[in-house]
Amino acid sequence: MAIVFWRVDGRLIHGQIAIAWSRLLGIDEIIVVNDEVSRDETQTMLLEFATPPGVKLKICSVADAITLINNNEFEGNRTMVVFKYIKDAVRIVEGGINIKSLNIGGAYFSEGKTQYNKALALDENDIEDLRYLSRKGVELFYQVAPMNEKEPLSKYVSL
Amino acid sequence: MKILIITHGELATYLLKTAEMIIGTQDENLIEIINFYPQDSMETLKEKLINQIKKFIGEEILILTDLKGGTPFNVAFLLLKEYKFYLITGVNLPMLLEILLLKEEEKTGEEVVKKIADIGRDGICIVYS
Repeated sequence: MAIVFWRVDGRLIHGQIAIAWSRLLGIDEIIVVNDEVSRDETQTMLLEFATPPGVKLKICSVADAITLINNNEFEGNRTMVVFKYIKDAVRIVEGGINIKSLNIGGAYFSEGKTQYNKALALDENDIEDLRYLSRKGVELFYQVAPMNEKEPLSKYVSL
Repeated sequence: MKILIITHGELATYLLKTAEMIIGTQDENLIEIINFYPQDSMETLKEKLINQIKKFIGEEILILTDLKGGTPFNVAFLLLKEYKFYLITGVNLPMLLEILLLKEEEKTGEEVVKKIADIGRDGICIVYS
């Protein structure tokens, strides 16, 4: 498997992803995983625009992502997977995919969520999802940008 | 043409301040600024941007952002579906100075937007010995 970085980021490809993470990790392929985004033409166009030069982009539904990963589509690449929501990562793991470590770097605030840090706003469902991932052996950490400190998510919520 | 600069952090504010250092203080209403801070959500930024666009309704609008693929750019890009404006990303000082030096009546149409972008590009060159 050549997926080197798994991230949850509601903003998908933006400055931190396009400039900071992808460069520092030597990423050559970004996979955006979310059902609605994969069907949205405008968002697709924007993501193509936002992808840094020299980096390949794939936008797929959760189901398609599971197939691609199982088919070893990313072998030989340095791939970063970006989920829009924590629940997208849960569905991947439920689909039998093994995620060693998941970066929570863009769980943004919306109505009904509690703000734990700048890019860490969670509701009860999110916390349940995180606990599920933790039980499945996924290392969960909070880190917005690569130059920020990596913090275990258990610092903020009991997993 | 109404001008709006949206950047990460306070780049927009200081870009304008720096431009004023070079060509003198500008009419406050000439250029609008939106700073985007780490704690702002995409929705907040979108709201701010829509409010500003609505104030400009009936006029040509040019929006300048700092980083292709950055949130200010992404938010503006998605609004192109609903609103009509020009969008340039990669705003720099030469570009901004050009805008400020153009006469109000010259600031109209696609050609002038292209020219502004060209000036920004031409401001980047390598010199070495």
